Amino acid sequence: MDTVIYNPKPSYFMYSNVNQQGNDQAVDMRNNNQPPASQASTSHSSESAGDPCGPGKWAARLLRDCAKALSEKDSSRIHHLLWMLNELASAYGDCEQKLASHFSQALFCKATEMGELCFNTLSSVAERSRSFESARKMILKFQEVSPWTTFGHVASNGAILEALDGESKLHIIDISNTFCTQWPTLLEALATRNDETPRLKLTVVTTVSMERSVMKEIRQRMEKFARLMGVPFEFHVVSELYRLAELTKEELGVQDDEAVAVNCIGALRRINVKDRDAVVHMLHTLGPKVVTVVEEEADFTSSMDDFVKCFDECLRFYALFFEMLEESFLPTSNERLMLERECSRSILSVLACDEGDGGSCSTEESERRERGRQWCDRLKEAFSPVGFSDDVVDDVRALLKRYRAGWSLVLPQGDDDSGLYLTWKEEPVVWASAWKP
Amino acid sequence: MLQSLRLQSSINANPNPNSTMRPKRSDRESHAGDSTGDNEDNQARKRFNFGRNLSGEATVSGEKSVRHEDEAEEEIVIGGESSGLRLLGLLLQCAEAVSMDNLDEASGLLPEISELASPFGSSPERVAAYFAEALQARIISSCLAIFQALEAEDRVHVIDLDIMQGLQWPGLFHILASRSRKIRSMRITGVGSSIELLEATGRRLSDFANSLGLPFEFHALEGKVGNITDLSRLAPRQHEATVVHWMHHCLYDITGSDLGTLRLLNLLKPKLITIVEQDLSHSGRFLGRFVEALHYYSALFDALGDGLGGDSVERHQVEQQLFGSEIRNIVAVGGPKRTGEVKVERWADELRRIGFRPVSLGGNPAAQASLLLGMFPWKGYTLVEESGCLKLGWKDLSLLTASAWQPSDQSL
Repeated sequence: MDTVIYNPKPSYFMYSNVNQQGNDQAVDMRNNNQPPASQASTSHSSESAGDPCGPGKWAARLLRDCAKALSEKDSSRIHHLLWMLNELASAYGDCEQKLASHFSQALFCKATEMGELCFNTLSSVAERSRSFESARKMILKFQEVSPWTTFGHVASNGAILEALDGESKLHIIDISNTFCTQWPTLLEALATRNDETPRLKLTVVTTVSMERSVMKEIRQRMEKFARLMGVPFEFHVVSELYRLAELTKEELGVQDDEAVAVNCIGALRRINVKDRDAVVHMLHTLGPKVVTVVEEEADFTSSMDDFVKCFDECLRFYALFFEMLEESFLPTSNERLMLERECSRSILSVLACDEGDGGSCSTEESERRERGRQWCDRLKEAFSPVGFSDDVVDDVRALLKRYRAGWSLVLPQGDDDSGLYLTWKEEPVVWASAWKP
Repeated sequence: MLQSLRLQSSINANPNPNSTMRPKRSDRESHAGDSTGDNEDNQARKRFNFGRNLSGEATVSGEKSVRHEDEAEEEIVIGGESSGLRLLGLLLQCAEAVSMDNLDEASGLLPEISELASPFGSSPERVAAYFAEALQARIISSCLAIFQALEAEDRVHVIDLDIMQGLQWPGLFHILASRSRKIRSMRITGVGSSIELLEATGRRLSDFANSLGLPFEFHALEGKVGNITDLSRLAPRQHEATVVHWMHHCLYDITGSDLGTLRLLNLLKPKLITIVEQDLSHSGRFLGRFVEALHYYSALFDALGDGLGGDSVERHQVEQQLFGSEIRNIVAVGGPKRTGEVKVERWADELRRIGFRPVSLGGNPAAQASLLLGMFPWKGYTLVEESGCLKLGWKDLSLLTASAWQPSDQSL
């Protein structure tokens, strides 16, 4: 029995004869690649992951089985699988364990109809502990190790600078999740490109909670940087993200003599699905010279009514994302942990919460991503695509060279599509596009 | 599921703000094992004060000098200058809630603890990360267990031989209400010594059940169940499963005549009897034990932190793979074998004589889950299966022995 202490897997009380398993389950502690959890699963039952010594994707199998059981309302199977997942999961383990942890939380909440309550609690706790410093560290580190976000910045900045070239009064409406980290580069370009430095007004549309927690410091830094660059600058915050479809030119401070650019990075997916077309229409009323849209390449929307399909897509996307995080960050990174926690809340939102339809159980936010092609269909109602110039494409290529191997750029082939795709290990992950009225 | 337990707090809130949150009765305080009760808790808190190095960073070290109680309280509760202190204060609060069967408070604290914790942070942050994760896993699995246990039943009658505040039942209600197949009837007969307390418990449980749309009846039975002569109120209705939950307290007598109780069990032939016996020969407060473990692992993590660098990947792997599992074991299930008498042997013969046989608590997870009804797995640290019984212990000390029995002619 002494060997049990050194066995990294939890020793379940259900194993009545531990000695017998002691030999089978002995784990070589030096083999860090071996997911400890897979040891347990082999002696459980026939549903266990295949080969315990191989790169078994045990989490995906158990999770998918559970999602299927949920959709079939097979209670005893649901409980059995959740039980196993609960035992094997860990938010602090390897990729498989993390996926098991975050996805089984969502499944559990879905099974007990506690999605909204859980999401709201987790969000408010996260908000309380969020600070400018912690958010800044997380974002900057992410940008340092991965082009996931910087890809969109470079493409958008390039398109905006070209569209507003020659204008003297610029107004950028920024509806993004970037904490304004893309703007210093743009400010620098404005200051150095031409002889005449234009004025820039930046209006950030965000949520009340973001405004409370980080906007003050962001404002100070942006104003200071603009001063340094010698760019006449104004900074405004409109904390009405969830009313985006109803906002007006006046509320956004858009004036007739301004050249307007609208920048939507990771923002449109946060709008409730039923309001998205209205948002596109609203953006058109602002009379922008260019609208840049950057979104992640996943579809949690068209399968909204098919839980298993939605689940599969969610798992596909986040497995990729978690793998990318693991390969990009150091193993002991708190910044990566914060990103993973954000993902956890998103997963919960997509799988266990209902879209806002006015009911008391709905959440304000959405996290239902749509693919580039789907956004194109929406945007084409009011806008037409603008291709990225060769210069911008070159800038993006140069950016990617600064990161580890695995990242590349894909240009769309046909006329239907527009925009650029960032790919990681051949999978398209982020889509960037530019539009004009 | 954590958050679902929170619902209880708004509804289960004690209407009398002056009454104690602790469900322990005053007569328990005089027990040999518990006599140092409160004092022990305070001692535990004081022992767990953090030292600080000159730069103001909190470090955990061994036995610190006992500080003035007020100062100690303030440090833990307000959090002093370090989020590490605050974090461990929260963890202690959570442990305290668990020790008092106050699951909803415990699960309300966990999200915040988890958010502040990190396996890549300071010592307290790392320790808290694994303890919080272990606690969460345990609360979830116990809920699943109860849920599963009642899946097959449409009508349930729970006879709780020592219901007190009934804090263990709202979680079950919530699970029952969430089932896709509606339960047709749920009744609890609570036995206790004070009719006022019973009625208050009954009202609280009824309110909560109503808010969930659960068909519910509560019957209060004052006195000791072994002395009951009129069994008509306990008689099962048609198609109703009877479950008897029996937490023994060896140093005082709640059930009255043992023979009477046995006769009752014989007549009722409940589908399931869950017995939890306190092994008072090695008793001690949960909080004291929890703090001891926290202390131990904090010191260990501290030591590891000193020996290896701040960003040490090796340290993280050792902590996550080895200690994380140990902590999980301690807070939850599994672990090295316990020694200690099995008090239930005394009852084993009696129960067998009246036609019950033990249901082994070893075996496959599904069956096991169904037998955890009414037990308190979330309170245990090591739960070991031995001779078909579950023994709850702390390191080498056995605290509780749990067993389950069903009629001999029935198969599960």
